Amino acid sequence: MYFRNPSDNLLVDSNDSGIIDTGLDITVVSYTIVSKLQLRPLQMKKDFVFRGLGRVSVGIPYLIKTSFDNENFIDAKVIAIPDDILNGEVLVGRNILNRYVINFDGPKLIFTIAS
Amino acid sequence: MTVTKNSQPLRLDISNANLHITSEQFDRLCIDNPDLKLELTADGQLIPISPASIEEDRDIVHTLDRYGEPFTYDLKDLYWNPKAYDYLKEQKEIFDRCLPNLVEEYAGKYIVFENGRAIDFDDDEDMLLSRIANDESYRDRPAIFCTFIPTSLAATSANA
Repeated sequence: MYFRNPSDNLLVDSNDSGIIDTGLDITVVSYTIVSKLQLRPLQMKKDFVFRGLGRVSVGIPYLIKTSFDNENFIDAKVIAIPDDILNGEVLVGRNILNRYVINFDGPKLIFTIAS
Repeated sequence: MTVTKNSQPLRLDISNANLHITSEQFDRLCIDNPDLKLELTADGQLIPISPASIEEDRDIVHTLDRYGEPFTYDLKDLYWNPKAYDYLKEQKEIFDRCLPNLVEEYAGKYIVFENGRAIDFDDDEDMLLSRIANDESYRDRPAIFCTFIPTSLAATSANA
């Protein structure tokens, strides 16, 4: 995935450890990404649940531009949590997934993501 | 172990017990008991946690790290820009005072709020954020106070 600061296209980042998580209603990133991109927070805090582990967690929502192909970017909200919780991954939740058509070819282990 | 339907809720105190379950059993337990706040350590021990896991007034969060070990962090440390934290804290205080009036006018909508008024609003949060992100006049703010206005003040109290 590719990321940009919505207010400054020179601040960019990418991550090749994105995990599609349809159980999350919001996308979760590590603090390193939001600080590197100098993103602006949206609220004081937000609770969310790691569905797979049944765990309640809390993070800070930020506004980000994101893209799967480094060309078509969308504005989205992401929740930042400490790096110690995520292993460098980005957990892509339904707030981003719902804007795409995603097909999974099981035998070939290929996801196709189309806008 | 099975429990018959329509049985009374069973209250368990596991604070003095060592319970070990698999991750699959833990997932099912959490799905079947959404009101319980539980954690599973790396070695499979089930431990109860307080509902919020957050210390009041300090935003200290108790959770588990990626290795399943207890991990504590301060939400304030997740603001790379201290001015953003100060801005949001100030706006939150103003917002709480203005909420009764905001409910009258913007109930059920998302708003971007600053200094007592809604800068912009929308039924769709994504649309609202996209407009604000590209608003040149708002670019110098260290943060954006964007929130949902409940349909009533009672809804706000219930969720507090």
